[in-house]
Amino acid sequence: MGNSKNNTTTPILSPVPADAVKGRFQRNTSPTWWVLAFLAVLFILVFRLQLLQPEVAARVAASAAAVNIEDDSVVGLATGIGSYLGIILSAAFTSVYFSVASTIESRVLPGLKRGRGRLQVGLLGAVSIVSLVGIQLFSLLAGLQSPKAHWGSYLFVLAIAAAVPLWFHSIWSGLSRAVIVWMFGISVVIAATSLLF
Amino acid sequence: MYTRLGATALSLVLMVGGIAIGFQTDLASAIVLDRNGIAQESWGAVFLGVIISNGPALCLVYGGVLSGGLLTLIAWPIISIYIGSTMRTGINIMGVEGVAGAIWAYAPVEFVALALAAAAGMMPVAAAVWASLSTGGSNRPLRAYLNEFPHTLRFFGIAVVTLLAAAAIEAFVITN
Repeated sequence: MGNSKNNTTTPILSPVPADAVKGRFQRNTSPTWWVLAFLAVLFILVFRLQLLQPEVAARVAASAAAVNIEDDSVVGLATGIGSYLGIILSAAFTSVYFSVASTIESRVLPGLKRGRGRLQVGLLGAVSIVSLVGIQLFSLLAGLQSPKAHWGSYLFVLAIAAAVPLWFHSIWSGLSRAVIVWMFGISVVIAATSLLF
Repeated sequence: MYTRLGATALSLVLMVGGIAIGFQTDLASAIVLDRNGIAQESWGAVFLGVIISNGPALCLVYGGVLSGGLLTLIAWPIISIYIGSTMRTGINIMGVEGVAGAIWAYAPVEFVALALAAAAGMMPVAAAVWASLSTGGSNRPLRAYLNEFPHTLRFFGIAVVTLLAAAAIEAFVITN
């Protein structure tokens, strides 16, 4: 699976990728992965919301703003609006998160990619996809309202940030220590961002 | 091209989803309908009233152009839920035939206008996301975002004209 061609033609760490002079950046991660990851996150979010719906409705009804509302339909509508907006904004932030990861990896780590064609994946693409889908799945299985509510989430994110770059070891082995630290640093930041969803 | 189609499809999905959620809630006891006296006003006054009521909503859902799509993604679902819940309330009070008979001529046109404006509001951010994730396109998110502005204005212009047409029809229906 190692992409030896990219090892020789594209720098692993570069502020100006070789193909930037033509006004274009080659994407490290193919759209197939982004679409699959987005659909997975959306599916898990909807499923999580359905499981948490009774708890959310009870919290809304008990909140200071809703405690004086006598009409249950208004409280129900407020819960519906909150849930719907939650899903939409989470989906939007997922798109932005993947976009940022894709842009950073293409511009800063252009040589760190594996696979070919429609199954090609870059380092930050793999980190962001595995951490976000994984953290959402963990929250679903653990019944968490927020991933940040459990210490296991932090451990999971750190493990992903450390383990995924190792999968690309054959590409970055032999580089200077500063470059490797920089690569792991970006990986941690991208993985940790998935906790914000 | 794909981003404009995608933004339009997303706008329709958000509208249908919002209407479906709003329709599940009956606000009959929380809403007071008072249309007494409206029919006695002139066509111009009713037309102006409709524009004053719907115009800000149209601008609001277009606001995503300047806010990375955020304003549209918040306002459009809420407006759609409002449409759904008022539709449910109207049906409970007047019945399906009563509501359909009253609004069929102009409400769909208004929905199209709002959906177009919402699509326009999400086009720049859709273009930026597409540029970030796809292997085609301009490949530069910020440039793609800015380049989409003229196209959103075209969509918004069509939405404004559509809304004006809907308001004219609504004013005619109410005053006759």
